[in-house]
Amino acid sequence: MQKHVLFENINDPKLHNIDRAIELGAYKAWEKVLKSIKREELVQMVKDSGLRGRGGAGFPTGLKWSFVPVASPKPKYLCCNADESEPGTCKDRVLMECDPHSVIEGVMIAAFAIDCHTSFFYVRGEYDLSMRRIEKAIDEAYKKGYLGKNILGTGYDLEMILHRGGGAYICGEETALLSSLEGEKGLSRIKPPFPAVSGLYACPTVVNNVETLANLPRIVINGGQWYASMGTEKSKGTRIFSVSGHVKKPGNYELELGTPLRTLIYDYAGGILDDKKLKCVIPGGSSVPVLMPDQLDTPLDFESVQAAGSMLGSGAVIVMNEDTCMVWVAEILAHFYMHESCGKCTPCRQGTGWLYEIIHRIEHGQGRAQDLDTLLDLAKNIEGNTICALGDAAATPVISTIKQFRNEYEYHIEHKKCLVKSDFRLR
Amino acid sequence: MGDFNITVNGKTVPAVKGQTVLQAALAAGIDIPVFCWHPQLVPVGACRICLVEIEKFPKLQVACATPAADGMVVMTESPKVVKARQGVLEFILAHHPLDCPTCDKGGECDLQDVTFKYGLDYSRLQEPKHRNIVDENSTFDDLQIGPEIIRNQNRCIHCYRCTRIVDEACFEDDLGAYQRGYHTEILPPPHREIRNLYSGNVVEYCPVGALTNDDWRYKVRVWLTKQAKSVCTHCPDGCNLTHWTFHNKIFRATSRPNENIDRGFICDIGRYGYQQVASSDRLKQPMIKKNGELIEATWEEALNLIKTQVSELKSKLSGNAFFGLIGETSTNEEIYSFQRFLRRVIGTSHIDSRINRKRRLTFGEEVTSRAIAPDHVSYQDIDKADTFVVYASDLHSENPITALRIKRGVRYRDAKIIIINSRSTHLGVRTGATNLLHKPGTGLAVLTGIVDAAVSSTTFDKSAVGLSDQQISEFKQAHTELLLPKAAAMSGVGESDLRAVADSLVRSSNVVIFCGADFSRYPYRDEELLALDNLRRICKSAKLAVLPESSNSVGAELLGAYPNQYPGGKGSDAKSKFEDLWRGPLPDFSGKDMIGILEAINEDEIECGFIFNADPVRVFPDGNYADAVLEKLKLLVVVDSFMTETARLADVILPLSTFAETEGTRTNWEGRIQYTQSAIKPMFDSKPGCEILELLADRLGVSFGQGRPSEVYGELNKSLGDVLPVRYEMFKSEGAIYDRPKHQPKPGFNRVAYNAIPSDREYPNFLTVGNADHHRGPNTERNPSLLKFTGDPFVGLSEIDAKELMISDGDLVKVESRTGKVVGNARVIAELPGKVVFLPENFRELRPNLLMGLKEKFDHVKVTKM
Repeated sequence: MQKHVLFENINDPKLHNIDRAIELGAYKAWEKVLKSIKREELVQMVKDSGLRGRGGAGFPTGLKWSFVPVASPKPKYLCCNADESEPGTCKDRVLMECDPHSVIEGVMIAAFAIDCHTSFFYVRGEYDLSMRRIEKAIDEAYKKGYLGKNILGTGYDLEMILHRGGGAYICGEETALLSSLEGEKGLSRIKPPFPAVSGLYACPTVVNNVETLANLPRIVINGGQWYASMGTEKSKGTRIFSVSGHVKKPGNYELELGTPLRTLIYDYAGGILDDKKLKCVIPGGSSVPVLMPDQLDTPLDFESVQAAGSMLGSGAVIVMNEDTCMVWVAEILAHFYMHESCGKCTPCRQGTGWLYEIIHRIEHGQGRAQDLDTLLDLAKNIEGNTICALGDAAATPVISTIKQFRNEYEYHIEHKKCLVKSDFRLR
Repeated sequence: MGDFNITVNGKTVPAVKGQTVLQAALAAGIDIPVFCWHPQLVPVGACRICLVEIEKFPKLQVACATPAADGMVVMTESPKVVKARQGVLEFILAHHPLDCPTCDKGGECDLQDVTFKYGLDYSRLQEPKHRNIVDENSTFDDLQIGPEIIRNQNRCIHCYRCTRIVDEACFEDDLGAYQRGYHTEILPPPHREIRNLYSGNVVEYCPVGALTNDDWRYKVRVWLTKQAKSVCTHCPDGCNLTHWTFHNKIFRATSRPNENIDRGFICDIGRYGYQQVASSDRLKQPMIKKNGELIEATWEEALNLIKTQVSELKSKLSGNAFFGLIGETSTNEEIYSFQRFLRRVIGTSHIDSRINRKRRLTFGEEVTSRAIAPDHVSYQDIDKADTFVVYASDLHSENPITALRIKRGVRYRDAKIIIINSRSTHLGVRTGATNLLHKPGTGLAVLTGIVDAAVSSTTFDKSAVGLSDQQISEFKQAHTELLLPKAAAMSGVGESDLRAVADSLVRSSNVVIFCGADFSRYPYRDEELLALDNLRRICKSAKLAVLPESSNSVGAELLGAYPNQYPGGKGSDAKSKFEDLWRGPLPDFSGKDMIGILEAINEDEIECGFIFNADPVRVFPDGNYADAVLEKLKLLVVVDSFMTETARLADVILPLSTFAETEGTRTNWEGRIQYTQSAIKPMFDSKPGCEILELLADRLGVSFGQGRPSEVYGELNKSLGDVLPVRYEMFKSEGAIYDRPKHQPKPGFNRVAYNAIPSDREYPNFLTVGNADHHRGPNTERNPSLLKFTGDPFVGLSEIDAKELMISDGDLVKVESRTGKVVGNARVIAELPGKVVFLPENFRELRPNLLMGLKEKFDHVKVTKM
């Protein structure tokens, strides 16, 4: 069901101004944390809430924090991952543009939870308005004394540094983000050591997603139990779904986790454009397997989507109607991953390009019968063998589209054209 | 054994805490292929060829970066691993050009070997191979990225070994990976070249033929070559090399990794320094001076001439009319034979090897009475230290691999470097070193100022370092002129900097103090040794290392190349022992050192001499004097490999085989004795040193029967008390360390006497000498590859002086002193402080020793534009 936790005041046009935000309750949670909550209590509260990372992997946030060795003599760092680049995803953008104070308040709370005194905010290069809104919000927070030295007289210091990325998809991967923050090329790093032990400048570091952090003020105000009361047994709370593709009302919808996919597409997004037949849905950003029309009743929570053979990922729901050529879709996605591969490890660097070249050949009528087996085998050789998840992300759409739409590929190879009547308006 | 066990392919393998799965497996002889991994670099897990299956891990893991844990069960040949490995290889090979027949790496290529062992014999690639086109009009995609290095990006497998070697191990910044994805290119930064001192390592450790060097390219196939184990002779670091030879010609030198010394990285001077063996400058056969001209002769003629002339002189004069000088790059065997020849056959004690010092190295009263001496330091001590003090040394160019070892400490242990010098050196670049740049000749003030800052600090714990209040107050009373505000003003170093350095030294738990070549040239050598010893005393634990100048300086000292010292550092009481050993009478200890010898020649007391593998005219600090004096000799026999300035004065020249043509042992700065094989047979009509000395001895009536180095080595070992390995074959990679006597310094601080440098109005600048880029000492100018890095000889001027004299780069300038002048092209060096002129000592065209007066304490010079 639609439930507005993050989107409570999202339609207020002045929400990005600190005065209006404070009127609507911003920074109350931060004050409460600083004045009346102990660090351990805060971590426990978030653990109780069942909040899981909203960036894609769905790792429990409280648990992630608890990996940080707080006793370490090294400084601890918190990085807000606002490098939202997964195709189809635009949920963080709306939060940063409309409600930046909630986001940076979340950063402050998370920083407190890991005893961090310097936090970083890594914004995607292309997100110009987000960047400016966050910049302004941080400035205002400093002026009001919510950031800086001796915050609200409690003796707690916290700096927040805004960093604008160069527009690389890979920098949304946490280790690549840290490399980029350090001033190096955005290349992912091998794990272990995990960032919680040795991250930014080889110090303990937590990287959290914007949406995850934006939930924190609400959890602090209303308590962990309140948050845990929403959602399903293992997937608590709400989630912003960015619906795009062939729907009548594309956009960001905040729903309780566990809401069926059908409700999202047909009730909130208004159904399929031109009332055509649905072909398939990518439920969690371009790097996850497709769901077929017969899976529309899948509840949108981490476990159910996984059981259906896909992943909830970043919550970007890409809807495709019957006129979509899946080879073409695969080609676009393969091109994207080839372009964004950082080139550090072999399977991804060489594999993504090779996948694209073969699919490109098939799409342009040069396919050969054995290409499909080669494609599947190459994708499997990439999957799981790379440093970061980009390799998996590149392999999945290929494997998934061949699995579900092998006939379209075969038709392409045989007849050198698309099986379906393509939607030329979009092409 | 190990701390715990892991299981690899069903076999129990011991592992040490901190080891990776790969290291444990390799140590147990289990093969896991690698490309990007290198033992001296942090694993990056980029190539993915070392993927292995580990129980309880959902995915395959890279063996190179996964820490071994107790009870881990690893499979390196499971179907999953084999499939993944073949997949990775297929990806690597997909766009790799199949130009193996013309690739220089062919035959020693990691990619070839791994593909041969684990790869598929077909490719599924249908698309055209990617090509990185450098020049549209060329079929080759080679790009010269440095004076020596050529890149072929098509062959690159993106293992990043090269960029990591440059960055991680060498702290340099002239190579990087540009672009992204499969467009990633290995390139130097825009408008720059890869030309750091360690650049050759990127070629050696490139697992494919993507990086090659001019030195080796297209010359010979690797499988045709033979390899000889050698030890580098260009500096006292003692790096182990492999010489690759074919048809009695050396084609390249590569490192022969030795965990105790070089750990697999060598500098370019060692890598390309073999080229001089085939230099056109080589002396090809004996020469005899007739009517003032050197003409070629046979060995027989030359030896007979020496015999008649020496016999004639000997019948008239005593042994004291003869002298011998030997270069410190000779092998231990040559040094031993040489001093034995002079002592036993000629009957003289006038022997020295320290030919480039104008100040006597005999220590003054204070040093001897307080028993101050350097410590025995080794590379292992460097690995333990947390602070390094580098005093009066351009460590980067003088001891490149020692510098690399220090940098490793900075990288992995956060060690600190403190450089005290009157010119800035490359070691300070990118290593976060504290650079105390002082005015020329004021090093004493800096050292004493630091000690004062430490003992004056309220937090100084004197009991921790065993000092009493009385000793501290005595120190202060004795050095009123060198205490803090004055020391800072005198040296031009900030007082706060001195305090900060003192603070960090006091807090360090393990300090190593290095002093280098500039130290032995300084006029206040004794005082500086005392001041360095004072510095050592404020640290909890500190060792002082005086780095010698040449590759076998330590061996020369050890084996009696000094006037009044027998092998093993034995004194006159060992005379009868050596008379027994050498079966004949020996002269008394009345030998003169280098300066004394020249004086004696000047006063016609000495009339005949043997100079072995040394060029005093070129390096003695007063070249004009050395030239004039040696000219006066009745007979000068020069044994050398090259036509040197000294050889031109000789009456007889005997051609000496180079380091590559003779086996023997050398002693590095640690005192580690290492065996080196001969790579090739003696070239031309030259003979190895031991053979020449045996021939000479035999001609003059005393045959030792030891013409081969191994025979000399046997006796040498006996003279040292049989402490070394019995035979050459028994030398292991750690070599042999000869234990020198340890000194027990007296407690308390030393008194350091100090006289201010007199200013010289007429010659206002101060001359410093050192190494040009990619050169070390006077012996590297015959290597074409090294000359590519340096360019022409130059006169280094500071920016301030250049501006004042209106001199810009390339202008012809004259540098004059009271004793001589040289002319060269100016080069403005930004890092040089004002009033300092820098001359490289590497070029015979521009010899700084012409400007040095024997009588002058300081080298004052004047620069004028021509």
